[in-house]
Amino acid sequence: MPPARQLRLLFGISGARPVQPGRARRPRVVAWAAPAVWLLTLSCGAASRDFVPVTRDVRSKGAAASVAVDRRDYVYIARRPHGVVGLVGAHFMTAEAAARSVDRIADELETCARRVEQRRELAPGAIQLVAITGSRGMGEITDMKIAPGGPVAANALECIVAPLRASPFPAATSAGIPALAIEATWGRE
Amino acid sequence: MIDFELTEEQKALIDTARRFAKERIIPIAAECDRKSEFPRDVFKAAWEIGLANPTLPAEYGGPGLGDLDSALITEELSYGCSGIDTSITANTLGLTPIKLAGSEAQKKKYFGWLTSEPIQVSYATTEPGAGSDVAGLQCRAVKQSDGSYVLTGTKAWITNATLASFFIIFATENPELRHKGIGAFIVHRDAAGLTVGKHEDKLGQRASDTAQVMLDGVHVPAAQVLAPPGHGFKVAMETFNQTRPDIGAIAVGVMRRCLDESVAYAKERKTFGTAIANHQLVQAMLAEMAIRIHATRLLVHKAAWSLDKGIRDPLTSSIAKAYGADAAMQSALDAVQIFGGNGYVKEYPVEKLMRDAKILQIYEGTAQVQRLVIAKQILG
Ligand SMILES: Cc1cc2nc3c(=O)[nH]c(=O)nc-3n(C[C@H](O)[C@H](O)[C@H](O)COP(=O)(O)OP(=O)(O)OC[C@H]3O[C@@H](n4cnc5c(N)ncnc54)[C@H](O)[C@@H]3O)c2cc1C
Repeated sequence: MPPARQLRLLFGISGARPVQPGRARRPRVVAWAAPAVWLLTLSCGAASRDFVPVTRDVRSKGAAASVAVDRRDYVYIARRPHGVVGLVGAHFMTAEAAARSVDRIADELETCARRVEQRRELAPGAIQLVAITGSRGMGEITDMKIAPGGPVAANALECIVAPLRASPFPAATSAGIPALAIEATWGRE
Repeated sequence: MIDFELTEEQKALIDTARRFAKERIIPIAAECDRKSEFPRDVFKAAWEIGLANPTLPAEYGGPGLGDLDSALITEELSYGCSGIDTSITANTLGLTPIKLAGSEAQKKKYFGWLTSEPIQVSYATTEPGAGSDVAGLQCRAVKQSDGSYVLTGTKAWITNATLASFFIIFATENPELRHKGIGAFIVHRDAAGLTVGKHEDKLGQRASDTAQVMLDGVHVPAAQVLAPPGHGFKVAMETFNQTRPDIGAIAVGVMRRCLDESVAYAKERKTFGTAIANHQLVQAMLAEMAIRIHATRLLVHKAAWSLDKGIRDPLTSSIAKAYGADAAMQSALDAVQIFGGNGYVKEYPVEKLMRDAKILQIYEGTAQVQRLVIAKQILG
């Protein structure tokens, strides 16, 4: 799939449950597409298991290291010893609420990564996703992309996706359904 | 709109479950089968990464996955060993009645327990004298003045009985009332009067634990009454409706393994100067196996998708289970056939697949009972 289409799919939330039915979604594509390098690396770099998103906050080794994403591409960043979570954008939630969610995700990631590391099952990995408030008021993932290789998918499901599903999200309002797009890496020095 | 594309999350789930089957289940499956022993460490590992109790709601700390997600996991784990998977998936059978009929307090307590510890659960309708005829169960539930019940009777063929921390027991206030007398009760393993019988020495799925459960005046506090007499039968039937697609998914896993093993063997084994894969009659068996996999998977996905959408579709649910079970049995027979004499010995994996497949036509409603359910839907 061409990277541009993947970009649209991921950040345009197309093909998934709409964030706000009936509204034009295209503008959000632009709003959330800033750290495109991440996604390009994900979609083009399937051959490289050591894919990493490169920002000042999310350090990496290997082929992707030459690519730089400016720090301002993230609205907010939460760093923990075992991982980093970057907020790409949020809709229908305040900046504070979005930052709180990102901090909570980073905390969960940290706790989980430590646990998984103890089991010797932690692999360096990365994920991008868009989460909205689901019907039960918890996080619901509409789009997701996981870096390839090893047990990365298992780590992502356990340390990011599962905690997100179990986290309360801000309630939907008449303006729309709260949504946030995040990117995260873990297991790197 | 019809959309057969899996989401990235579902693809990640498959990847995770497939790796788990390859690394944790396949290497020990033959040994567990030989010893007739369920590997509890495998259950714990599956629980840790969210492959156990997939449909346990997220608001109670569970993975919060849908029925289609659950079917995807089940297919992969069953590819590794359907016996081990059956004991893992039996937890879904045990938690579904609580999802359907549990009070908020019961959900908090038991779902909380399931998410905080890698415990196993049993679901018990069957008795020595009542299997297909669920409404004919005899286990007695006698109401006490404080709203609690006392249960007396015997449950047979209960998956996970030796391992379960709690049981969902179906019992009746009066056997003559048949389905109108049945209630559902949550019974803790350490309840006074509850004993578990000997581990059944089975033909197949030997790695799953199966035993009798004896209830001798077991006191069940009111807080553990899931459905009072008169309301339990519906819970039992709706539970089966929701879990039957998982049996179809087990069938798909078994069939995929049959096909993979058969293809590999057919390319290797030579007769009349050529690989048996070049004989058209062998090719026909392989092709039929592939047909059955695809047909069953579509049925399973349709049934699970309906459940996820809140659409009641017991017809597809039963068809997925009935067709899948028969299809798996036939594929396993064909796999043994393709292996010839080697298919008939324990050195090769297909004899186990054949033994394992048979139970799919028996538990959660026999092949005949599924036909009755399907015919009832058709005839109205
Ligand atoms: C390994 C294993 C695990 C199990 N796990 C569980 C569990 O976890 N929980 C639980 O509650 N039960 C469990 N069971 C029980 C299982 O669901 C029953 O064995 C099954 O429902 C059949 O009941 P039965 O054995 O009494 O057979 P019967 O009901 O006696 O049936 C015998 C035969 O008669 C046929 N038959 C019966 N009635 C009719 C009819 N009206 N028309 C046509 N044919 C009919 C049946 O299809 C079958 O071929 C398990 C069984 C096994 C073997």
